[in-house]
Amino acid sequence: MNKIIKRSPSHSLVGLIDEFFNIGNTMGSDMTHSVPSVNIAENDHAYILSMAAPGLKKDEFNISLEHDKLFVSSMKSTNDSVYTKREYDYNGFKRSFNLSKDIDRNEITASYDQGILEITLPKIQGEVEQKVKRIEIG
Amino acid sequence: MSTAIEANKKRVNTENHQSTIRPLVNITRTEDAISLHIAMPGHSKAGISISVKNNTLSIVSNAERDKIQPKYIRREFGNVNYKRSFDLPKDIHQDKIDATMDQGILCITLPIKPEEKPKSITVK
Repeated sequence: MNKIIKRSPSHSLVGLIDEFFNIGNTMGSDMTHSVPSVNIAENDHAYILSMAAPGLKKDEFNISLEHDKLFVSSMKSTNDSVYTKREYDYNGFKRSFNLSKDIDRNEITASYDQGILEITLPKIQGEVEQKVKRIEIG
Repeated sequence: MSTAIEANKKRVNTENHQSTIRPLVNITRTEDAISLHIAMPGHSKAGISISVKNNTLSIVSNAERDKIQPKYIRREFGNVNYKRSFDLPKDIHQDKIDATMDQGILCITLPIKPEEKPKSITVK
């Protein structure tokens, strides 16, 4: 029950869905790594989502919550450098995660250090079951 | 070739369970310098060593060990060591190579020596 992400038959990968919206650079896209990798750890109190997106600034991230989805994206910053070789480009990605019911939506926090964005999703302690609406058959 | 060319393309596994992989790199070039931007998320400058030997620039970065192994429910990246080397073009000022580390990107600046002017010899 404590899954952060819902299971779906079409996304059997470890039972965790997430969606890629790769709005990154189309030039040489097979060669350029443009979607940051994510680890999700769980303890008794929270889920910790770590995203390896090095080289950005704190304010270039956009983290938002819409319904039961957490969206993480980066803004495309203008960059007129000429690349001799380009193996990564984390300007302009978008990933989303379905939040499970036991996450306290109001207490989500984030920090960015050493190129890793860390989002802490605290669990609601012991209230989840009470919120389930029971409907009796009349 | 005027660009830095990587010398080692193989991904290497170490024996002690912590794997060593080749970090991703972006390379830009201006008239004065070649810049390598090497992605090493989660690493700090303390674990990095950079060396130049026989025109080869080598970068090694060792990850900090996790004190407590978290319980992962999804794992797309590991706590890895990084290693990559590049053959340097001849026109690089090897004594003036400079490096900085910011938000998981190691930026190495390789200054290009100004082109030597061809000597003109006057026929007497």
